[in-house]
Amino acid sequence: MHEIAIVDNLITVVDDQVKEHQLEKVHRVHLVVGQLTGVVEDVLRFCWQVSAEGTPWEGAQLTVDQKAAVALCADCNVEYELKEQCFACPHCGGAIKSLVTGKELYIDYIEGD
Amino acid sequence: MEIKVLKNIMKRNEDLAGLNREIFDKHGIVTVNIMSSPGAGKTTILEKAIPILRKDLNLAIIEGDLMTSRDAERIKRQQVPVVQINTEGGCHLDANMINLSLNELDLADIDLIIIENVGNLVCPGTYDLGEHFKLVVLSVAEGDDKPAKYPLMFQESRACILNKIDLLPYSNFDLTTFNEDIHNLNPAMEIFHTAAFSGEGLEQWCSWLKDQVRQENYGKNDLTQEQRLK
Repeated sequence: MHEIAIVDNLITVVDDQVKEHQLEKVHRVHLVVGQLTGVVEDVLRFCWQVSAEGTPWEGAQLTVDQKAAVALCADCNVEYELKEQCFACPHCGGAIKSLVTGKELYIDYIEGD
Repeated sequence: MEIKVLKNIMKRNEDLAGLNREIFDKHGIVTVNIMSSPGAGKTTILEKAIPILRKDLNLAIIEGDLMTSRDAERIKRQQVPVVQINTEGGCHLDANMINLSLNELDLADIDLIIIENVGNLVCPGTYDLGEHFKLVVLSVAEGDDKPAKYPLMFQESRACILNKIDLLPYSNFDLTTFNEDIHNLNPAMEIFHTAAFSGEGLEQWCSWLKDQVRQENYGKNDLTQEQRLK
């Protein structure tokens, strides 16, 4: 989808952390990405590598923790994983009250010195 | 060393979206972000809705397009303030673009800003623009499977306009499947059936939209509902 724009935003947060903690080198950036965001991990990593050239995070590993899409049922209040093209609760057939996970797009931690 | 960050990747966009929201609220402006795939009929819906909405609300339109100002030209003919944003290939609008475009509008005179996002059912869903709520438009020609294929957009929108409803007899679009998927994804979602080309169904949608503006503004500022919605 729009990985280069996401990486552009990601760099702003990483750069803030580098300055705040006076890091000379970043080794790893670990992200949490929800399934519903439509972010393609390989493309994200490619954009990251290209845009990291000449920065303290050049060569840093970009690791991703993919979060499944989980919904809370409006009728029986049970949490269930959303399967492809089926959004009704598998237990009672109810509709989604709210999404529990699946929309995440955040940096969990950074490793660096 | 490991540094716990726990910050949204889109933080910069979210901060700017928050700023936009403050600007809107300060001026008593309600803002709607309309999203759809290319060709679903967003611009035609606006062309037909503007004359209806203009009777009760001071409107402004922000037009997002990859290229050309064709849509903005169409809207301009409706005699409402319009700002064109060309993303030059970018697949969505972001909060910064909206922020910059606000410089071109006389905010003191506006009740409702309608943002027509770039035609795309994926990326616009990730970018908060500072809008008060989102709407999604789907046209019959695109097929009934789109809510299932692009769930996020339908999950996050307050209403869905099913446009080109006049094509229903000529397509295999299954209203039951569509309604079921929408209901399972977002039970509170309002669904409107329109044929924007002929104007069918737009009165209902406009009257709902006016209600939303009234509700969003209620208690938010010193102006009474009657003053805001003339």
